Amino acid sequence: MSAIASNPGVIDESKENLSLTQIAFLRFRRDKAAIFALGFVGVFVFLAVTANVFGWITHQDPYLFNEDVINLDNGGTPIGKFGGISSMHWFGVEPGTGRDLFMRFVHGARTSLIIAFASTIGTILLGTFIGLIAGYFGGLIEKVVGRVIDFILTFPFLLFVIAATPVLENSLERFGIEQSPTFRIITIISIFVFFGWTGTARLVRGQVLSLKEREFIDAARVAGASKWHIIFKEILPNLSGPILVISTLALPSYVTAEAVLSYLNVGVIAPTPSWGATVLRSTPYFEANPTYMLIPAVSLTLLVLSFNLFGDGIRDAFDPKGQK
Amino acid sequence: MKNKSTAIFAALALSASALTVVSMSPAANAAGGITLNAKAVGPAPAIAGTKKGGTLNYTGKSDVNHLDPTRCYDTFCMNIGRLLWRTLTAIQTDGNGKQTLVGDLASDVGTASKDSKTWVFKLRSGVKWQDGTDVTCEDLKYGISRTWDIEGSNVLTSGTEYPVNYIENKTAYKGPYTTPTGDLSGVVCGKSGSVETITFKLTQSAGDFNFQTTMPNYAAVKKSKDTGATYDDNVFSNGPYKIESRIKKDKSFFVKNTYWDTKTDPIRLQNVDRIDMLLGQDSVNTNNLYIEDTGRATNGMVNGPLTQNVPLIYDSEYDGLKLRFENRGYYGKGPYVEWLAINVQKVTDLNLRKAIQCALNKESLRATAGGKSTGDYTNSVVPVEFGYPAYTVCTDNPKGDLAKAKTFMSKVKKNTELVFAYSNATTDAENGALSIQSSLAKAGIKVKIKPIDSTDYYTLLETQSKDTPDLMLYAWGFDWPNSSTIFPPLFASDLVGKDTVGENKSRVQDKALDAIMNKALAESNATKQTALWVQADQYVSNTIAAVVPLWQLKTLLWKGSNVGSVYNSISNSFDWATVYLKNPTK
Repeated sequence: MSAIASNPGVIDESKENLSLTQIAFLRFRRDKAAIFALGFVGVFVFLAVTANVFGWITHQDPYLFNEDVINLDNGGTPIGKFGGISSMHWFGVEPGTGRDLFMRFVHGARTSLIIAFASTIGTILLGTFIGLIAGYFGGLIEKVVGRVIDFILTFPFLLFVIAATPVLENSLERFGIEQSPTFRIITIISIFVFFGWTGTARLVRGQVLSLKEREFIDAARVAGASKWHIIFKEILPNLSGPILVISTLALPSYVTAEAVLSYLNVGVIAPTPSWGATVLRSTPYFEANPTYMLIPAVSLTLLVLSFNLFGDGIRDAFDPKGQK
Repeated sequence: MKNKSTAIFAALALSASALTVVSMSPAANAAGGITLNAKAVGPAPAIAGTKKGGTLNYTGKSDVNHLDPTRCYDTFCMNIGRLLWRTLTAIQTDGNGKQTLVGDLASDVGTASKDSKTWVFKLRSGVKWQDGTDVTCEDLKYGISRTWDIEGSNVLTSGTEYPVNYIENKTAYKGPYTTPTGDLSGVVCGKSGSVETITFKLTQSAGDFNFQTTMPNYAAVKKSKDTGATYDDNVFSNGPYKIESRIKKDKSFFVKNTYWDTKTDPIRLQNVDRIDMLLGQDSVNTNNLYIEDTGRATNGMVNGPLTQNVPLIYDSEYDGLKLRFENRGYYGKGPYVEWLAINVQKVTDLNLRKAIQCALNKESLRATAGGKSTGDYTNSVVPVEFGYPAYTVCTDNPKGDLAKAKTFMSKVKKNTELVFAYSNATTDAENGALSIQSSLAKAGIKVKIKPIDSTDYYTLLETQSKDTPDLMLYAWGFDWPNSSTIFPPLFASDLVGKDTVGENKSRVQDKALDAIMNKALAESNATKQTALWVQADQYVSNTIAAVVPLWQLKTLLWKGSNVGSVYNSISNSFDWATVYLKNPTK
């Protein structure tokens, strides 16, 4: 049973009894900037998902060294203008190795999006669960959770991630888990979730506190619903709006965070492609080969910008007056 | 000796070699194109265009590992350290790059007994410390004796152990800190008329002992000024410069040692007034200064260019320097050879090792290091100037031979995943690792690449632990032009211990190889000795496949336009001993 729309005065197009979500969708449709942003996001997600298909079309591989497209005698510089752009290599090739940059681009998009989506899902799941419990039960549980959140939030995020990643890996190595590219991705996601859940939990707790006093909750209680039923079947569905907003704003921040870590050489491990790592490697070649850096840098900017605009659009759609 | 950036692509610190073709004589004369001058006196040969004055600077990322001569064993510390300490004998380089062995603290090049087991050197008079006191035979003996402390790993670490391996020690002397009242029996100070002499009693014949005494272990150290482990930062000088101040990894300043007398020194000149070293600097920024020749770069010495800047200075078609760098750069063959060491203790299957030799794509690996300017392909660990007969290691095709590799792989019983460790200091190192991984994968050899922090890298290669890698890159240069400074230090089985392996990165423990090497060391006939080293060479590369020889490194150097200096192949860079500023007022 879904709740009645919380803003009775703002129903569009004379349609009545629409759910909040449906109303939000209609509002969103009219927001040009948000649609445009969604389009961009869609393109990136498409590229990331179909990365292997591109490999099949272009016969290229993001890990394969191509010795014939770089000048083996002279520093491995790409042969040809703009860093070796050609019909075989749409974005050129990497100096020193000859790896196809377009493939590294789409696979890099995949790396960024996998990490960002996984971290967001983890953040949302953990944060929402803890927020629900803290908000509904209150009392000691709420106090303890509140202090834990405050404590975690005192750590400066980026510094802590840089420091914690190798430490975490070393401790886990003792349990026989070897360092590997996949394992590093898991480590990064874990650390992101460890920090990220706090913001979500706080927000959710706040929402729960206000929802908890509503009549429909009393009604459910009176009707004999168990606590868990109330939490998950009554309150949670009403959080869909805020949760969606949090997700769409968390995603770009995780994309950025992963890029920053890879740029600082403490993110993904070679040979995993990542836009941040590509920016790092391209820095010394900037004067000779600007496209090498411009492509991932501009794409990162566009991706994060689109996600942010999309997130703003979602938030405006759910709550145009900006009250929450 | 270790290249300053050993085992990593030495495109960062290469230099040219002025060595001509080497003849393999262990006798005291004419070792490898280097002649001897038993009567050399100061001043050092004049270099045209030398002016006096000004401040020379150095900008770099890493500091000198050890300025303490007993602990110094890489080209960087040897080049700069010579400004502060003088050794028994040394190699003089003149303005044309010609090299001569001369006495440095000695006034002659030593006289050997018939069996080359006793050597006597006369010492120069008038050589003074930075406080005006004379450098005496006791100071030299004290300096040499400090190597025994390194052997016992007490206070001092690093450095070579040549003196310990050659000089008699009848009293179980353990160095000046552990046995302060002890005496090193193999070194005797005496007098011949009014001249001080030093006599060495050796445990084995060494026809080229007077070349060994160019090693930093044979520098004088004044006992009252020895501060043990911190002597690194407080070296007491008898050279043309002394330390004014030194903060390790940050800044160092050297000023003139007013007690240094040019008439006593055939190697060094004292041209600039001051030397200013700035460390911990970002390599990309430093490189940019040198590309533009601005700021500190104009009066500066620096390491070689980063790989991405190589195309700016080097013309691959012409295989030489670009015009604008011609008077402030150098390009030529160096004395170092680089190879991929296979840990034979872990990679025990000879077929797997041979497969690695066949599968490795040297061309791709060389491209990641900078291409043609990095080095010339070789099938041996010995430099081409030694003139050993050429042979093939699997194939002469630098791309490798996948078919042969697969044939060997089919005979391999257990194909385990191999670990290749590399220092994560540069992107080139990572690209190199990826190249090795990808070329070996094509033959079915699984390689896992492991980045190691640059400060821990050498320790990892040298110690025996569960993390010891199976494959690693290494480079080596002779200490003086004889295979006696190549094979025994790299492949002798007694180097491999429970905890460390020294320079024997391949962990080779082969009795047949030991026998060949020992025979060669004892052999005084030049031709017979060479034949034995040739055997050892092919044994290491082909019979036991302990290494995959890659290339003989070339040197690509640059410096500021206002700096005048000559190459020195021994230190593998522009020589600090005779450096000057072309316009001291700049």
